[in-house]
Amino acid sequence: MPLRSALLPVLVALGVCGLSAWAVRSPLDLQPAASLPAAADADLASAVAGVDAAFAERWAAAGLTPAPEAENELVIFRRLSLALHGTIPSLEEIRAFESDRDPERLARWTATMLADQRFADYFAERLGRSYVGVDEGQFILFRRDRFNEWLSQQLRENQPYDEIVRRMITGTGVWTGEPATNFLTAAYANDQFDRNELAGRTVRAFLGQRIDCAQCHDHPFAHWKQAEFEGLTAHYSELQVSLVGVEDKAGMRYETDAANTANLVAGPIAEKVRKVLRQNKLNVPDEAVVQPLGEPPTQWIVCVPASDVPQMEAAAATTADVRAVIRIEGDKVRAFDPEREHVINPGGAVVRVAPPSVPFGDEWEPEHGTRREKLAAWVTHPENRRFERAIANRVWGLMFGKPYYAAAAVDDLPDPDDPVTAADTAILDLLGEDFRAHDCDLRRLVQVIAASKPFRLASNHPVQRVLDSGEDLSEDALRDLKQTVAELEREWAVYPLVRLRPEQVIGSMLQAGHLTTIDRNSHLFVRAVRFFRERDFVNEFGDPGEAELEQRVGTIPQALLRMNGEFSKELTQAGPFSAPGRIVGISSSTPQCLETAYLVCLTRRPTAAEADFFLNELEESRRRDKGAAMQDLFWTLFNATEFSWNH
Amino acid sequence: MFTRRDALRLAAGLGLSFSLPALTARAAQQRGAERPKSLITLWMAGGPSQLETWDPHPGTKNGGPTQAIDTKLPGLQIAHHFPQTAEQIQHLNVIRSLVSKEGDHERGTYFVQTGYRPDPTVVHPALGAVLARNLPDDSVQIPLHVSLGSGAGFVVPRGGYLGDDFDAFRIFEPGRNIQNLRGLSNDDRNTRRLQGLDVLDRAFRRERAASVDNTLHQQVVQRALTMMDSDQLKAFEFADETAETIARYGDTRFGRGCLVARRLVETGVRAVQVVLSGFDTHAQNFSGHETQAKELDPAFAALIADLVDRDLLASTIVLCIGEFGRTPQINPLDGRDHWPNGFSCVVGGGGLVSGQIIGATANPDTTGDAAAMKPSDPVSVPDLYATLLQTMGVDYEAEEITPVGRPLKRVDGTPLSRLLPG
Repeated sequence: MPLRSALLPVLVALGVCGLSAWAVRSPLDLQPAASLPAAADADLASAVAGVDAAFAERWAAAGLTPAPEAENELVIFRRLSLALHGTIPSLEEIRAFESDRDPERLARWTATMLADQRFADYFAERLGRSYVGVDEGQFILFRRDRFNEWLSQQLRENQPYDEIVRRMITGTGVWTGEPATNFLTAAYANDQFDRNELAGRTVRAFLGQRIDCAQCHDHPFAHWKQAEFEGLTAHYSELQVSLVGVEDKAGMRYETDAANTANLVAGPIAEKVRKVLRQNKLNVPDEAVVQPLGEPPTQWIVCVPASDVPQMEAAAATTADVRAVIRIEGDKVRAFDPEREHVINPGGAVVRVAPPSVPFGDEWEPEHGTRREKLAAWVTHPENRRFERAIANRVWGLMFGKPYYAAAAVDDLPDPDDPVTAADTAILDLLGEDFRAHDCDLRRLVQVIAASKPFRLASNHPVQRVLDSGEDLSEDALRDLKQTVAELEREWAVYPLVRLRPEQVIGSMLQAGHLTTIDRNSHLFVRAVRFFRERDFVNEFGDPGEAELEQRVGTIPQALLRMNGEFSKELTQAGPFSAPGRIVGISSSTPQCLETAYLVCLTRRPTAAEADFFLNELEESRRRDKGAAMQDLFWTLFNATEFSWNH
Repeated sequence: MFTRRDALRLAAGLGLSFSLPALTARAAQQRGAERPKSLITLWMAGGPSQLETWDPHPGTKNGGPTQAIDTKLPGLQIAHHFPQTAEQIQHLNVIRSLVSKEGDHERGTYFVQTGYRPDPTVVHPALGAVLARNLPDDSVQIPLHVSLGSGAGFVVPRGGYLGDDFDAFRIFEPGRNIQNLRGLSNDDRNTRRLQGLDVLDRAFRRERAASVDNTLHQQVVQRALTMMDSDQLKAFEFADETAETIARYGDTRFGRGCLVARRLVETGVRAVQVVLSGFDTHAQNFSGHETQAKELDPAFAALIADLVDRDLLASTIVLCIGEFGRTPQINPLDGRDHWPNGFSCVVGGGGLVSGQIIGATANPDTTGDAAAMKPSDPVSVPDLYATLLQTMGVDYEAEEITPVGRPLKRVDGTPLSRLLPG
């Protein structure tokens, strides 16, 4: 906050100088970008054809007639801009797009948008939410800005997604210099790493699997048992934070030859074992004992039995105070500080040693490497289908506003081998296979989805035409119609109406308030305003946090903010730099004025009925206040359902 | 010239069915224990020191310079910064043994507001949201769950899995600015705007009328317009309060918040939070708390006195609480750090008993860790909330099905029988 107040006067000064130069640019005669990337390649086309064929088959099987393709490509252009840049397109971009006569212009513009820095920044913020959440975290150990910058850079460089994920799981070093480690430090709370949180997040974010609630109810994946969860958690057990940042505390691990296992017998601790513990700086009181776990024992715990448990009872020493864990790994014997093991469950009642393990695909874990390296290899292993299904589902969600598998949260996909849902999720496998075959290329995944039939379909459907006359349907007919509409949406046979997320609403309002594109080339002042405005607005509008792909309707405070908020007032005011004011200045006629306002806010031209009404309003206002009429027009456009719902 | 109400009527004629609920005799006009219950939470953001508020330990080294004063409640002494509250606190109860495991502001706030520790797969609703959801009142046109005052974003209580509708409605400057609730004052233009919306809506509905109905966009706009038109908005302002009353609460943001809170409760609002920030006294703890008390003491005392005078205390629970307490030890900067292991709150009214003093913390000079400093008779936040829900007539044990299909109890606690009558 202090930084912000200190910066603002400087920014204002800079802004005023620059704005005058910026304002004289007329956005109406912009040329299309000179060097658009080459048209989509045949390989991409065949991937899209595969997806389209799969959908066609599904629709035919369900007896559904999909909506026609959107009449005007500007509608799809708007969807793309909202999905990839978080704003509606600027007038400048609309003009450039419309003057592009290439029949494949949507594919070319998708590639152009993906190459834009705004895509990297915007997608980094979106994906970052699933990796590090939205909590402020512990500032000393966690820097979200660094993490998002790093992620943005990975996207800008189009790094393979599996590599990005491996770097997050295995990162070491300081969170400022090695920003990937913020994935780990985000889970640092109450002076320690929350390893359960890390394991849960790893599986949710990267594998689209919620296992944290399997114990509470009859979860479809209830076969992910607690022990399996602990086995995953144990992969993070060596994770430490010190002056050099995040590291694996291998130093705490003492190795000796397996021959020394002879010294491991139940009962008082042999001197040789005591020495091992001392070398690990593990102080163990005289009365401590060693207990074997398992049959045959490959692990022991060193514990101080509680006084009321005089007799040791192997793994059932429930109230013992565990001081160390000793384990045979291959031809070595290793001692661990129990703090770094997931040994005691939160209730503290059961002592259990969980060695690192995975719930399936054991063979995907490499033999060598740190625990975290093994986990990263397992998570991203080419045969781990959950990995590509999860990202396909999430990217689909970011493109449409709701995940492909919309029956559950975006990070709660069914088991890939579950026969009940196999058909429903076959598209995710299709997208996933193409993603894997192309080196986990996120941009390619976006391109395939953007070119696929469902993304190109209209959001209206002739089946709803019966309601257009205004006559009431019978209750039964209405219910049947609603069922059909729901089925069309479920099968992606119509583009769904999805409420814009807060950052899309503010991004769109800000963009509509300017005629030129707001991006990294924009004036510093405009960018600063955008940054602070966006933050404040999202804060007031309500940030859905990690649940941003959940479907929800608007709230009254949001409607009030949009209708009456300071920000809306400023943006709709017909000032010399705002769109409402500039449109009046640059338009030669009232119809052009209206058309421009529609393009700027709704990315389309007015219908005949709309033109009738608003031209009358604007003409009539010639006798009154034209500025007020434009302000009212913008207010109306901002508050329409069409503005706030992606369509 | 026509009025806003005419404008709405005209809009209704255009096919936009704006409607105002009938203002018949409302339950909120009742008094005494029969009245529907409300909750006012005075949220002490940053974590107030128990030693400098409701649990002073004078005469000890770590107790610092804070003195204790007698109160109207025999046997209860509180910090000397609160002479006015000392005159009213007998109407409430003091708990000195709250315990939590969350020592971070954001996590601690989440826990104390919801009764659940943070869980990345589900957002739990704050207590106020649970109340607004389970104790609805159609005659109230303004939000049933309101947050007054400013603070970090996470301080505003959320609806969580109950839905954004139950997020607290936020007013940053209580009594001064009911932001976003006022539209244009020009009714002619307002009507034109609504007509324009109708024109746009008709175009958008073409071949998607059923889908558009599912968005509920129009209904939400209508409800917002109803609220903008409601006389009940006056509850957010205090043009009709005397200067003397405003002065009694203290003309501070928090004081005005407490006064607005009383007015909102009178209007039937279910849950109100008033935020007082500035308790995070890692340095200069003692002067910091003196400053805080100058705002808290008059406002708190005036609020209780007013609720008693107006026969509203029997139906209004007042809870003064923060995300955690502060360390018994004094750090080298003369400050106190975060301490979730034993802290205080004040709670009462709304049908709870009064005059109870629950739990006690150890002498702050006791050396040792959290275990050694464990308070006697510890009280968990979920137990406290189970008590409040039960008192307010909400089944605290009922399970809500979260959007992901996971059933969760409203509160995972057991009511404290000592706070319940009989």
